[in-house]
Amino acid sequence: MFALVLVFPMIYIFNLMFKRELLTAPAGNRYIGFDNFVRLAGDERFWQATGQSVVFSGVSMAVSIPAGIAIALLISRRLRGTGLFRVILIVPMVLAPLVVGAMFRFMFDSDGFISWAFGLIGITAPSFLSIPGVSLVTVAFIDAWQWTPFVAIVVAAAIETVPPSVMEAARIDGANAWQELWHFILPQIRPLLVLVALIRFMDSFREFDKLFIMTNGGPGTSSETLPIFLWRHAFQYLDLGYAAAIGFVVLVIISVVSTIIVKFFRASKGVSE
Amino acid sequence: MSANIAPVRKTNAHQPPTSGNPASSTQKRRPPNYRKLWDIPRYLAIIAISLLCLVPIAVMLRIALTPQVDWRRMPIDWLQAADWSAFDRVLSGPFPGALLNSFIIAIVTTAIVIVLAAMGGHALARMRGKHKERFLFLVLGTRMGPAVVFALPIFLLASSVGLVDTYPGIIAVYIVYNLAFGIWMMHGFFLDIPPEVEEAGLVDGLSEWGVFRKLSLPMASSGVIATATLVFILTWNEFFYAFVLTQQRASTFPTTIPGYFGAFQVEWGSMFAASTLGILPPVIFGILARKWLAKGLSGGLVD
Repeated sequence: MFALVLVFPMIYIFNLMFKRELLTAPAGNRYIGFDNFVRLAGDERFWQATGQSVVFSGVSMAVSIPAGIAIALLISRRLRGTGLFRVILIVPMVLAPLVVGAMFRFMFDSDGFISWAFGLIGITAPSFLSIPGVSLVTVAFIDAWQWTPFVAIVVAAAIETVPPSVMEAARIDGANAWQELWHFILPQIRPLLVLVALIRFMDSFREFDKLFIMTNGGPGTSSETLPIFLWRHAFQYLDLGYAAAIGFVVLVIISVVSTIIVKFFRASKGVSE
Repeated sequence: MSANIAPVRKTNAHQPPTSGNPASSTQKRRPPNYRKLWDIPRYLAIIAISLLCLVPIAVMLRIALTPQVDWRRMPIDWLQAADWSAFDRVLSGPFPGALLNSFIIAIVTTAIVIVLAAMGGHALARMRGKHKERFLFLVLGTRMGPAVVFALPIFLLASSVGLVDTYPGIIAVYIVYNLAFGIWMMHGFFLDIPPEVEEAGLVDGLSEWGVFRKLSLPMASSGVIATATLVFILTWNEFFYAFVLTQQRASTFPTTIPGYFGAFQVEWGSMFAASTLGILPPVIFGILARKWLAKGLSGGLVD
């Protein structure tokens, strides 16, 4: 069964990506060699989707990782009464991404909660989800909303294992809080941070649910990332051969990153042993 | 570090953070009090972040309990009496069936994955480094690989053998989607068991299977619970495979959500009532298993 559900799709994709397999006009379906890839290389919408995927992952990571580290520093102090805070942080992570998307689509609706909140401080809120470019970044922020607590909890656990002697050394050297973080804490947990960054990259790179429910790739194709682009070709245009070629490219990107993860994983194990 | 913080904690016990700005000039000379002073913005930050996490969920609950005419009225009237009509509507429609499907599919998937992952994880824990790294690729491929890429061939395969919109079809996909990660999680827990314990069991005349069942498995029981909880949550929340592979009979709770988004208007109250019911199991299980949640959500990559 394993082979069937895992190996079969791979073989199927490898076969399909060399074919013209357009179900809406099946008459011309045949093997066409690398034509799908040639078409992909010249497809502006593909490059746009790739760029938007990079922006989406980039924004999601650039928000969630620093914010997560900041929250980690906050909880690793173990202030009184913050046990409940650790429980609250769990909640965003366990929600179905689709529900998170639906929730924030309501919040960002025109004349909705967000524009009301902006109105309180006297700002007329733009309609975030209907401006090209802004909608992509907004959903990336929502992705960061869901996964910042994950970064925080993982980093906090790592900070708590930093030997007290390191912190002592920092204080004796007269380091301020910022220097303590930058020169003493972060270098200690560097391998873990790399791992967290890569996990966040892969998770945001394959994100489908939130974009699907919040913008469906729109307005136009302005928030269409690679997963949405692929889904459209496979399940809406029924252009299966082309979709397989897109899937192959996505897999290549993912495997390159996997290789990097495993390399760093090895490195981090080397440090800890 | 903890030794440094202990006295700070004690003084805090007597002075709640809301007691204003207690730093007199005499206190300012001693460094620990700077740190205590900094606790005030820290608590404010904690409150702000908690609100950021909880307000969207509170809004969802409030709208689910609001009559249709007020769904989009801002500001939200938090004190308005609860109106359960959205829940009534949701519960009298096809939604309970989807919820039941979610339960059946998630529980069967979890049960099968746990049995296989316990055995596989034990075997992996006794393997050497090189094989493990190869296995890690499999974990990443199945857990981190985008569902969108695999969904098309899986859909075509499932439809050729008549498994679209059936329990076995979607459960098989979920087992594969979770198994490698389950094995990887379990292997971490088996690694914590000293090999001497198992050797002692063999010396005492237990079979390999007996050692596994009577010694190793009970010692890794917290791992079994953690892995099971995570597989349940991931399966419960999964949308894309369910969206593609189920239509009606085997459709799970997330696949019902897009149905509330009509072309002209959105059934906000009903959608949020359905969402509220749908997020309860993972929230409860997530809080119970919070110790292992981060590890599990990272595919077992971080400890």
